[in-house]
Amino acid sequence: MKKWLVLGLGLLFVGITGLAAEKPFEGVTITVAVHSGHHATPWYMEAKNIKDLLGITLNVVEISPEEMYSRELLELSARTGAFDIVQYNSAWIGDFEPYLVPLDDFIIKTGDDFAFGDYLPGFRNFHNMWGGKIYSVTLDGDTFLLYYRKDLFENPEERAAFKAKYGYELPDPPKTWDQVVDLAEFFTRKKGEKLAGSVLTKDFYGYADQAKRGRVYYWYLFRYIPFSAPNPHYFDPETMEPLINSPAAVAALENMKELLKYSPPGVLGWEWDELFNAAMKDGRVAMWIHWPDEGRRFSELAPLPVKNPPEPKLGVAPTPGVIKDGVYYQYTLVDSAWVASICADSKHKDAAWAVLNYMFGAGAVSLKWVMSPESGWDPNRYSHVNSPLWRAKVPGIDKFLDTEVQAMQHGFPCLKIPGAFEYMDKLDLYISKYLAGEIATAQEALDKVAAEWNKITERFGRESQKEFYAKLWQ
Amino acid sequence: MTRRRRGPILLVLPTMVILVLVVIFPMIYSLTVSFRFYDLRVPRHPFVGFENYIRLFTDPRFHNALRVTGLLLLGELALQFPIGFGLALLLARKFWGKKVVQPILLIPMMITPVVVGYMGRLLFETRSGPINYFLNLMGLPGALWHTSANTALLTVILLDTWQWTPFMMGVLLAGLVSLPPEPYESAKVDGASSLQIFWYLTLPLLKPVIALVIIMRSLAILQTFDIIYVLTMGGPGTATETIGIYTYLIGFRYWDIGQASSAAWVLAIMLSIGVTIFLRMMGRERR
Repeated sequence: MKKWLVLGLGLLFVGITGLAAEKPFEGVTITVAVHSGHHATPWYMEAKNIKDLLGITLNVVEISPEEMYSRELLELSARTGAFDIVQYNSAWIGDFEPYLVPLDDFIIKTGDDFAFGDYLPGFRNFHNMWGGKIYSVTLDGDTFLLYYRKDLFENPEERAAFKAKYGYELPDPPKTWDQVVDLAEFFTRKKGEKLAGSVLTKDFYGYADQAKRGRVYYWYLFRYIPFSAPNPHYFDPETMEPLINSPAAVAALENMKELLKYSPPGVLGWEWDELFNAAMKDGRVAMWIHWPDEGRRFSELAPLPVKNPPEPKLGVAPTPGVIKDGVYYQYTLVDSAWVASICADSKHKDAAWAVLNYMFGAGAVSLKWVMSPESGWDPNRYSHVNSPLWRAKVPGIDKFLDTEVQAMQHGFPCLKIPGAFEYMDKLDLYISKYLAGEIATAQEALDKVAAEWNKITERFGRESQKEFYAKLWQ
Repeated sequence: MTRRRRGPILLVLPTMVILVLVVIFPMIYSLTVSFRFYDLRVPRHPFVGFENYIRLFTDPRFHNALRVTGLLLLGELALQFPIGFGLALLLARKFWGKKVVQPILLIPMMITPVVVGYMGRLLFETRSGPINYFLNLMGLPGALWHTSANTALLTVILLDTWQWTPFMMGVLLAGLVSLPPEPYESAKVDGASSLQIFWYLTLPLLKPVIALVIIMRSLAILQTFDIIYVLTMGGPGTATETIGIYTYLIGFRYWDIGQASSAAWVLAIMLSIGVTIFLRMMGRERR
């Protein structure tokens, strides 16, 4: 009897210690500040699993995107310790850095279960790294791709006509901005004319930007960055003098205005939905640049607006580049999308890392949520884009996933130094004024931007901004 | 202090405390902030005297915002007052179906301005919006509406007029139905025409209500934000950038709280002057 009792107690002890080992953070509560709405869904859905696996109770605090920056910054700078993990836009890292902990040690300590190297290079370098250290993990792999009507580009009649007019093969996909201008001019046609061998039932346009005041600067940067090759920069890293009014920058803005001629009327007021609907639901645009949504929703492409349309086929490619001295330069702007970090004032940093590792480490959980339309998160790891599961589950997604890998090889960061929004908003303002005809020349518009950028730099301190700018590239 | 005097003070005290905490203190605080370099991202906020105000008055974008706000105010009042007054005069009469028409006319002002902004984006959509569609059906060319610097402000004015004319109508109608009947009866006995009755009786009697509704609408127009934010975000260029949008961008996007506070104070002072002048003019006419 005694023997059995000892054995029973022994088994109980082993069981308890075993359970304790399985739940290393039993009783710990981790508070996560997250973007309200669909971004919060994965946190709620995984809370029970986190509790079961790690013993951690997850406290999800939803904050609307408009007040995220101010609320998080106020809590962090006041050192209230209100949050253990913050979700934030990676553009804010310059302001948040003093209140976050680098993640390098956690990654080393846990034997890189997290597989940091699995992140696509563009995200790894320009979302997560800051001043040579890893500060965050990526939730949402937002970036920009070129979409085009492959059904139109493959049409033999159109290909022959294009070659006859421009003297070179119709490029599929378009690789340079010069080609985009030719293609946009070529495909812009009026209702009643022929397109892909059939009569157009609506006007058709060669190209469209999302040019509403507020985010039009992105569409300018798609040009500015390659036009400024081979060494594109926002500022001269030595002096912090703006390069935004260089001859290359002016040529980029002129390209933008040139393409307005081949765009639908009203693009100066277009936001995300107007561009998506015109291109995907109406099928009236030949080429456009947008976030990964179209790539994931390729099957929603409407037929061409002609009497006998071919089967709709969406082309996906990295954003166009330029050829300079015979060398091709292409860059993909890595949108400063959503990332998460551990707060310096967290009392449970190891537990917070365990949560991040569970949610965003390489594996089934992060794959599930980037595949799910519920989260709104886009793929950001090699294991996401190469996932046989995703490719098998959504036939036809391969093109988008392959292009994402290709595009992320040559990522280029958004500006992330303090005042980044202000710099970009001034750029946005004068681009908008130029496109709307309020400013006569591209040079004048960009000179004004440069002057405003200098004022902002002086306000924050030139030397300090120079240090922050250097960190962007480390 | 006697119990008799203490009673009323105790009753008023909670309101006074709330007023001080919610209105007076933030106002004084924002006034002090307007004299500081107050960037949310910078830990030190040194006193800079009138620098924020100088920056404000030398900023061409602020001048433009003043101009746009002025045009918005004039444009909206020029449309909303006569239309609202006309509708109020119609509704002051008895007619079949009035009980159905009246609440229907009030619906627009019950919609959240953000939703009106999104509706505007759909209605005025240049490519496939219903307004251009009907214009085309009538053989007229579609306009670029909010997507052109030339017509964007007009689009905002039209949209805001659609939403807020019912407010003008409602207040004026309430004024009309509460006018005393005796002067009208006397005027009719004296053989006054409808136009004379309107000009010499209705308008003078309604002046306090008119003053009230114009001041209320002016204050609301100067605060117009949501519709512009959703419809144009102040663009194209700066075609629809009002003081409200300008202050929002400076304060909540650039985090330059010092300059945003100075802009808010300039607007508040201008408003106070405008309202005082308007009330004095109305008062003088009444005397």
